[in-house]
Amino acid sequence: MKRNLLKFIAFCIVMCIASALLVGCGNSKEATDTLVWYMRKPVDNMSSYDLVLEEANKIIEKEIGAKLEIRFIESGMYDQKLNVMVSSGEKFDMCQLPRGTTLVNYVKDGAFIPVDDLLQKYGQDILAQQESSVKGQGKYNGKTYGVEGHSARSVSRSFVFKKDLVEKYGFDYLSVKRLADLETYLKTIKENEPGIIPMHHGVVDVVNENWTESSVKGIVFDEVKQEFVMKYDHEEVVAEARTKNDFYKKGYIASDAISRTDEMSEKKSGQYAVLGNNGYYSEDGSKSSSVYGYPCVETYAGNTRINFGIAGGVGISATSDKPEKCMQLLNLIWKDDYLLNTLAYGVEGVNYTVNEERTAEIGSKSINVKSGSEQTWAIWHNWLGPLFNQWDSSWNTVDVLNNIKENNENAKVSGASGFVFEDDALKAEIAKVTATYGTVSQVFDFGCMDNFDKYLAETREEMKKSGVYTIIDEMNRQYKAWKK
Amino acid sequence: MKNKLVMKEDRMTKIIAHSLLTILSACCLIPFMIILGSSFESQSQIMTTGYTIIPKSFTLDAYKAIFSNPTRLVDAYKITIITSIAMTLLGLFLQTTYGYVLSRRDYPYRKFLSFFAFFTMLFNGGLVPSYILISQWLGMKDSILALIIPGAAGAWYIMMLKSFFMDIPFELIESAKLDGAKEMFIYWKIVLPLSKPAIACIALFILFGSWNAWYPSLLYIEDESKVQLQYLLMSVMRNIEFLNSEEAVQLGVNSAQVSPPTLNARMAMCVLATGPIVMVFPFFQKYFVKGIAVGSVKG
Repeated sequence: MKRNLLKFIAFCIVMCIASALLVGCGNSKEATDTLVWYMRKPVDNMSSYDLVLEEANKIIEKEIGAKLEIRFIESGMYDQKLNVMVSSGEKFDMCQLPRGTTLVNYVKDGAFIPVDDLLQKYGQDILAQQESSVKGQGKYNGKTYGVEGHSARSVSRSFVFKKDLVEKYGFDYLSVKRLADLETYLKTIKENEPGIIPMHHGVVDVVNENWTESSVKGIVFDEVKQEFVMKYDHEEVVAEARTKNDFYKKGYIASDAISRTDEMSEKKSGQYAVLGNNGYYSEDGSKSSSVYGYPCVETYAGNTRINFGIAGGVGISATSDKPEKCMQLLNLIWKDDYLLNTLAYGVEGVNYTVNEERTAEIGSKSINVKSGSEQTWAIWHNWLGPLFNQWDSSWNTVDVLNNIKENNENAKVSGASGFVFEDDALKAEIAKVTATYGTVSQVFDFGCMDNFDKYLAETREEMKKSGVYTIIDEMNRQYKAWKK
Repeated sequence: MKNKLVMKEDRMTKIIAHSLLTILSACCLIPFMIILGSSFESQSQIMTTGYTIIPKSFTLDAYKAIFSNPTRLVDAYKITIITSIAMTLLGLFLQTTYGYVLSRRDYPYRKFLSFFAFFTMLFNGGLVPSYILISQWLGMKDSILALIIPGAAGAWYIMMLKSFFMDIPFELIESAKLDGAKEMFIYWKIVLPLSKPAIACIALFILFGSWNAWYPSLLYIEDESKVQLQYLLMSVMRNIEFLNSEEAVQLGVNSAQVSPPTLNARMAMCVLATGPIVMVFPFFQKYFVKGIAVGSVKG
């Protein structure tokens, strides 16, 4: 009887191992010199994958003796999947890093290696081109954990107007300085254009130059007082919400705004007279026109401050056995414009054609990228790193790029830039505050409360109960210590 | 007189029960009707008036848009059908055999095997260890097997089947044995046919479960031609959320180049993904109603 049981167990174990071997044989053959790079999937249809990677690998193999394999994960699923991969110690080489506290947690777990030495050794072309606001910034415990690419560090905000309506009513849109200046125009639209919603709720008041969002939801950094405060204690935030509430009551904002969650589709629908911009401001309205898909004009409102937390960008996994090759590859991407643009735009003839006329005009390469159903490849340049080395195209013209560059240089830097809040002791409070903030923030963003002052008082009380001031005290204490 | 009272009471109970059930089924049906109605509505109409049950402007645009490039949907369908059927068959085989031996009082390792299954109901390794086991040790990453094998046997169904098989009189099995039947024969020709209702019920559960599964695809599959249908839907919704998030703006996702499916297309995808499984239900229904009938012991 006992022997039988033992036999049975032995049989089970043998079966398990056998099945493991059988299945395992299938796909464990991997070339030793392949670099696996995980990133979000930029567009749905990436069917030119083989073509593009073949073209890119010609260069990569020649220069650094390795092959690149990019693996895409659906954007919405990325964080979850990366989490499991990292926790299980799966082998991969590089990946797109998450931002903010999520990254700090990964770093604490030792998921990614510090890149400082590698950058010095193999990444001189990267260091030479990184923006001055980035270089040496975003360290955690004195170490850098990601190769941060170029990016629009400071978001320029603007009021975007639907062109045909502005022209129809002869509205002097350039005179708008603040949210309140829109009132007369919104009133005209409300009275004369029944099918049009006067204002999209995403329009923000004069840009928040005096406050910056922090890593904890519901807490902002007051740039004037140089300290963290509760968001709805900041008078400019309150003033903006008050104006919006006023607009809401007058019917300038859709009454069901709060349920219109798919912001991008809403904005693209063309049923709003005034909207906020997405990304950055362009003087002639070209950026908004191309994003929203109908003619727009814009009025500049201001710029947000540069708030640089921990450096993200591309990280090198602690499970990679060839981190040097990874850095060499990244350096190559920053050095070789053709490689960068091949990875981003795809292959000539298939994914883009060269625009000879404009190339001659601007003195650098300009291309027409296939779009719509013909688009079978795209990786945004800043995911690879050097955004400013991209060829002029419909994605970004040289002017837009210069604009971003200029913006980055001129923008003010937040006083809290580079500060990383250690929140380990306050996790419970943060969870509570985040939950409370989640329930009220949209009401403020859309301005859809019945009685503004009552709601504000209630919100402050709720936030206080959740322990927001405990967090703020600790943040300010850490901030002062960090500042020294 | 008495009879009338009973009848009256009977009618009252019927009315109450029926109206309750009507309300309940309406609660289940209306959302689906909204989805169905909106999938035939035009995008601009949804934008202005919201979702409706009866479309104001009937159009097939959404379906045309999906079927103009149906590769992903067709792939996902194939995978879902294969995994669902494979999982149902494999799951039924493993679980009925396991449940059956546990129900046999004369089987020596009964206790150990019961505990073996029961233990997994109380404790399991959790997400990360199972991921390591399946993707790294068993090498099933990016393989359709990862969508079938891990979920093929569950302790819960085994226990259910076990208690069902226990109700089959042991005398039946004994008399079969006396007539010279082998164990496989008894299982296949006597036990299984007597347990049709239970098996049908569990088959349906497994089928629905695997039809609606998306998490295994998220974890184990990278090749997008191997993902399940529900994962496709899930990723569409999550991607829309992502596109509207702050992070997408920070990452500089080129919004002009990315256009999420229109509102009506999302609904149409939903309809296409649910459709077939609704058809399956009637075939199983008779087994639910039939109940259990084991009355073949001869005195």
